[in-house]
Amino acid sequence: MTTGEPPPNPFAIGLEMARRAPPVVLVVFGASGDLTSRKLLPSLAAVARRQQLTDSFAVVGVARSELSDEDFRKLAADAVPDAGPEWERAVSGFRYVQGEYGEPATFDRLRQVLEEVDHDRGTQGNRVYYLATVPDQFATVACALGEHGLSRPRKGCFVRLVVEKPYGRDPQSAAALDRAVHTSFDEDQVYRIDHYLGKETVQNVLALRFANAIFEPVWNRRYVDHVQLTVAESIGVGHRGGFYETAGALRDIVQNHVMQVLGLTLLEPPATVDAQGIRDEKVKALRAVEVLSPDEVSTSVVRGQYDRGWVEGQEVAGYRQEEGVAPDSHTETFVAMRLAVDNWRWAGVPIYVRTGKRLPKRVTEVAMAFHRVPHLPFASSLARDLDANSIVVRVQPDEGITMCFGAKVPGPEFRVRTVSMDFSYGASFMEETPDAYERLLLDAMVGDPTLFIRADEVEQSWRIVAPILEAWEEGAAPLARYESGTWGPREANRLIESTGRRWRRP
Amino acid sequence: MAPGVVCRWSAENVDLGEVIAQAERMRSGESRTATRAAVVNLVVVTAEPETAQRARSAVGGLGAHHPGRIIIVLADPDGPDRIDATIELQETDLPERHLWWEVIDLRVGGGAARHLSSVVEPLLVHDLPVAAWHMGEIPSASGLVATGAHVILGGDRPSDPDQSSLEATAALTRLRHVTDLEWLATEPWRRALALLFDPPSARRILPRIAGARVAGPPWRACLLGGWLTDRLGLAPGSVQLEAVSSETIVELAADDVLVRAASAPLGRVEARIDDERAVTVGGAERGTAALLAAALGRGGTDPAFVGALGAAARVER
Ligand SMILES: NC(=O)c1ccc[n+]([C@@H]2O[C@H](COP(=O)([O-])OP(=O)(O)OC[C@H]3O[C@@H](n4cnc5c(N)ncnc54)[C@H](OP(=O)(O)O)[C@@H]3O)[C@@H](O)[C@H]2O)c1
Repeated sequence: MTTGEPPPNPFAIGLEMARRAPPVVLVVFGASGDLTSRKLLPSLAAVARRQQLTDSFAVVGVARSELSDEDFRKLAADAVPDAGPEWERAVSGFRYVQGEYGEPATFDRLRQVLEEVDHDRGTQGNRVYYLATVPDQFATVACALGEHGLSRPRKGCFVRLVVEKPYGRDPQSAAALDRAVHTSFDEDQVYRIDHYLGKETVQNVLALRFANAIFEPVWNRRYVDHVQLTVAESIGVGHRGGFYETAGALRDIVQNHVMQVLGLTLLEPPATVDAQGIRDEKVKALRAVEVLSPDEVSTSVVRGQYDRGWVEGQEVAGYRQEEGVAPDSHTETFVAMRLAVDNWRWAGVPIYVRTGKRLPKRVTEVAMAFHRVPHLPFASSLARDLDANSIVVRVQPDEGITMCFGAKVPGPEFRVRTVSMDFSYGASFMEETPDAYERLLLDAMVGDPTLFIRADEVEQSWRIVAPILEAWEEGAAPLARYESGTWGPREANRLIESTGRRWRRP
Repeated sequence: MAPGVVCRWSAENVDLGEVIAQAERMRSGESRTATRAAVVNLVVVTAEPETAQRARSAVGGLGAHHPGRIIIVLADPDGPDRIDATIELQETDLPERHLWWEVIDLRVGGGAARHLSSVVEPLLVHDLPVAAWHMGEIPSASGLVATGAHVILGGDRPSDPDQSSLEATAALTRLRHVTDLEWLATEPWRRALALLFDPPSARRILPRIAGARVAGPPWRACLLGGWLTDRLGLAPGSVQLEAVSSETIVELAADDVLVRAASAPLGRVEARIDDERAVTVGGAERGTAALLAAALGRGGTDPAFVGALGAAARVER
């Protein structure tokens, strides 16, 4: 039998066969850059090691540096020492195209190389373009791919475009980037990265809510008093000061990561956990977040910048002393804010968000703080140590879920205090958690856009964030300073304490 | 105390109630410096002291992957009526965390040894799944402990496969969720062949395969032979089995091509079609502890295993 449909694979039954990428060329723009070496190549090597790439796979790197195919292969091999025979085999077919993205000749050469790779490796015309280059080149590359006839798939093939963050620096530039991208690609070809969505524990928010009958019924205004979302980093800006000066915490963390985690926390149950179900509901949830007026920005948002101090036992410099940072910089390294959500589920439940650099520790978590019981039938002196209930989803580093509730202290008196019940991801599942980029690269090659951001989500998060940036430009919310190694400026405490609540100590 | 043992309690000719109370005290009494995690109850039942000893060393490596309560029962139905017990709280040191888990060693003689479920059930940690590991002889239906437990077989089999042992195993698969460690040990060869034939173009060879040769340790060779017979729809007897104690090799022959899956360096299996397409997978040198850990992660009886058993029993007949 040499023609017709081959039989199904008889050996696969009973084996958990991992998802595998179809035949595909991954074209990396920014192939000589930091992200490629530090994240993309190691993640691809891990995917290869797990047998999730076929022999019909290749990377074509495109960047300005003068590299030969051999140099690029060496770069790929050196980026992942001891990656094993699968990686060696994959790397042997990697190609490199040297050129400026502004030069049409670069894309002529790219087209020629892609045809050669299809022929040599059997990649069948399938392409994933990955924009891992500087953001001001995103539009240039996307347009050039269209102009050179590289953005539309041949019949039976696929062509996708993965775009790194940041997706614009304000709503106007995000919309302009969308227009440029959409001249060459349809929206369903576009995969916008937010690596937070690739994290297992962020996805676990969905499992917690929708795989359990006991949580979803209390996940609303009747039971929840307020929500606290913390994204804290202990590091400073390091050598990325120059970049950070043009971004700040609001653009770098809030507009993307915070809004995505918030969307997953607040969304209504989707009919199915798939690309459309999840993304539709996330957009609906974000659309319900109220936009702050300039006056509200003054009262509901705190912006801060770190001074020198001590973090994790080390003395550290202030932001203005960092390399690449202006000595009179007004860039915020900390944001705390109170948001409100106008919908049936969340009306009246304040959402407190805080993020910053040089805070005491690295931690990302979402905490649901519940209402107190309507009446405590114990002497108040015996329930002094009792907090309201809370459920905390810890995203990193110590992934898990904590539930806090009151229990009787053993003894003759009816004294109650808060205890915590801890579920630690690490202690229950010993499987290695794949890096977010491994998951996302494979999803992009397989064609699952669930964990990528759709254009309307970007639009919604800018709708919330842009008015804050504009009000700041008009002078609302002066920059507050905080000592490195503290939980941010005093103003942040006032923001929450004025309503009788307080920040958790994560 | 041995390394890793946080505390130990031991008693001879003891009442089971005392063992239960002691296990609970050790589980909840120590100050909480480590996470007392538990995902499984693992019960090992054997009549052979040497097997119990081997079980003890295999479960030693398990704590990090499947912390829980491990109960090793050495049964002597013909001995005097008595129970001796030892409980050890053990610690696994992992980067940034400590996990605690318990090993309960029981020597059960006389009437209780004929009613082992009554000894084991009260010692199980509530709400956690139960796995019963029979390392040696294949248990009969009446020899099964802990209602509904996942049955794990193999690791210390006293004899080579024959029709009655294959049929007894097949009978167990109809009663319980069964995982066989020898079957899991063949997984790298099966996975390598599955990957090799994943591209549709490679699969065109399969209908032309008329015979196969499998060499390897007896249980592995037998199960791989049954699997090939079943999956390729081969006539009984068209797979030639060679029991050898060294490496496992699978060869499939069509008129003009040879497919071969054999051990490669670094604990890998390499499968290739002639000298052209090749795939390699890891896991060929997993020891009993690693296979046991893999078995505990299994969700249900593997349908390919049931097919392989059936075909192997037909060949034996
Ligand atoms: N690095 C990270 O940890 C990280 C984390 C999250 C997101 N990201 C995002 O990932 C993207 C890349 O960041 P990165 O840190 O890897 O940047 P990078 O190290 O500066 O690398 C930029 C790459 O783009 C190439 N390039 C720039 N302009 C070019 C032009 N006009 N023509 C041709 N090639 C050009 C550079 O080539 P040559 O060097 O050869 O000139 C280099 O390969 C950015 O969007 C960033 O926001 C990075």
